Amino acid sequence: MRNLVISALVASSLAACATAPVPNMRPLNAEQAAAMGPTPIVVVEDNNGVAKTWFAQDSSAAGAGYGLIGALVTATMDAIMNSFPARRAGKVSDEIAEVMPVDEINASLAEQFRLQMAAASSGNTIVFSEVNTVQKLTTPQPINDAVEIDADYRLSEDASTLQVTVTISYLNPAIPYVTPYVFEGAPPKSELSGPTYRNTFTYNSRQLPIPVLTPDLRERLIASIHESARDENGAMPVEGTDAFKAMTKELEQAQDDELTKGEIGIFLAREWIKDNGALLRAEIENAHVFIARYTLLDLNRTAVPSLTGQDELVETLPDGRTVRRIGAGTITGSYVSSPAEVVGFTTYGNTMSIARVHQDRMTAIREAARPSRRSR
Amino acid sequence: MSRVARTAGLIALAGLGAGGCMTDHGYVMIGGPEKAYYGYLDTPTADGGHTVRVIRPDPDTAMAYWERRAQELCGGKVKRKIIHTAVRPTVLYEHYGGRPGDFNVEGMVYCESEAAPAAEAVVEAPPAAS
Repeated sequence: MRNLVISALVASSLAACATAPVPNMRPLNAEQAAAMGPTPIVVVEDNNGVAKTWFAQDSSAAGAGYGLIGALVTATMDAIMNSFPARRAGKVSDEIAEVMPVDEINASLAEQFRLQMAAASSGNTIVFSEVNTVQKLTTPQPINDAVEIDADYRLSEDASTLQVTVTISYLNPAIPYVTPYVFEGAPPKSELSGPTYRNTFTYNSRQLPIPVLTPDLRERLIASIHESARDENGAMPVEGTDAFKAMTKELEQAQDDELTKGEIGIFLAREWIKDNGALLRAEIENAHVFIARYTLLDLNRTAVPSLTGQDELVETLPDGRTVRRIGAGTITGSYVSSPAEVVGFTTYGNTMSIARVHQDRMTAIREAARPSRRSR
Repeated sequence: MSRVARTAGLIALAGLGAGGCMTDHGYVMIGGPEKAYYGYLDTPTADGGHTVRVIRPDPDTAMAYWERRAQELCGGKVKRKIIHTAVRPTVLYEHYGGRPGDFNVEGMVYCESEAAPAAEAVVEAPPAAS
C-alpha cells in the first residue's frame, strides 16, 4: 500500500512532462485569412468592471487531517483572516465602479475597435467590417464568423497596477482550425476543434509609487480600519465576535512598521479614483488602443509561434513603454504591453472582488432574461 | 532489488520531483551545471540587446541579480535598461487556495557598444488610429 502511494506521488510529479504542451495562440494561415476577409468584431460585454484582487487564506488542507473538528477550526480561522481583506477589496472595487461603471469600459473598448476599423483598412487581408457588442449572460452561445473580444480588468493586490487581459478569438466551422504544429503520433484532441484563431493581449499599467509609512499615514490607516469595521448600521463590532477579532488583527498589523499589500491598496486605490477616475480612465483607454491596434496586426500575421523561441520587441513608445511578443512557453505569440521602469513586485492574489453595483447589474440582466427564455 | 531499497528509491525520486530542484545556489545561471531553478537567464534580442530574466525566492536579490547580470553583460557599460516585468505570481494548489510564488524580474539591457531601441516604433508596429 505504501509503495502504491509513493508510486502515485512519483507519477503525479512527473505527469506534467508526459503531455506535449501546445501554444495557446492559434495563428491563421493565408488561406484562412483570405477566406475571412472583412470580418465583424463582437465585443463581449464585460460584467465585472475593474476587480480588486486580494489573497484569500485557505487552510482547509491543513485541517483536513484532523477530521470535522479540524475543518471547522480552519474554516473559522480563515473566516476571521479573510474577513477584513475581503471587505477592504470590496470597498475598493465599489469606489472604482462609481467613477468607472462597466458600461463606460465596454463603450471605450468598442470605440477603439471602431477607430481601428476606420484607420487601418488598406493593405490587410482581414479588416474589421463592423463592431457590435454581445451580452454573454443572456446569449452564451458561441459566435460564428466574428472576431470575439473578451476583456478582463483587475487591480493588483496593492492597487499599484491595473492589468487588462483580453482574449481574442475567431470561430467559424466553415473555416476550421488546422493545427500548424507537428506531433509525434496523433494530435491531442484539443487541437482538433475550437476557434480558428486565438490570442491573448495583456496591458500592464504604469506602476504607482508605494507610499512610505509615516505617523500620519498610520493614523489614517487605523481610522480606515475602524470605518471598515462598522456594520451596515454604523455600529462597531461587539467584543468576542469574529468581526471584532478580525478588526483587532487588522489594528495589530497597522501598528507595525510595515505596510501590507492590502494596507497599501487602501491608499493607492484613491489615486485611481481621484479627479473622477482620470488616471484609471487614461490607462483603460491606453489598454484599449493597444488591444485594437495589435488585434488587427496579429490577425493578419501568419507566423507560427514557437515554444522555445525568444521574445520580440515589437514597439517602444516615447515614454519607454514596450510591446513585446512572447517567444516561449505556452503563452508564446501573445502580446504584452509594459511600462518602462518597473521597480516593485506586483501580485494579483488568488481572489477577485467585484463591485456590489456590478453584481447587482448581473443579477438584473439574468432576471430580465428569464421571462423571455420561458416564453420561447 | 529489495522492498526496502525500492521504497527508498521511490521516496528519493518523489523528493526530487517535489522539491529537489528548488535548492538556492545563489548567483548562477538557471539550468546550468547545477540544474538551478533560481538564478538568472539571458538571451540576445533581435535588436542587439539582451533579455535578462531572474527568478529568486526573495525580492531584494531578484533585483540585485538582475542589475548584476546587466552590468556583466555590458562589462559595466550599460546604455539603457528596461525592467518591464517584476511579478510574484500566485502558485495555485490543485484543489484549494494558493500561495505567493517566487519573484520574477525580466527586462532588456543595451550596452554602450550595442544598438538601443529608438524612442519611436521599431519593428512592425501597426499604424495608430487617428
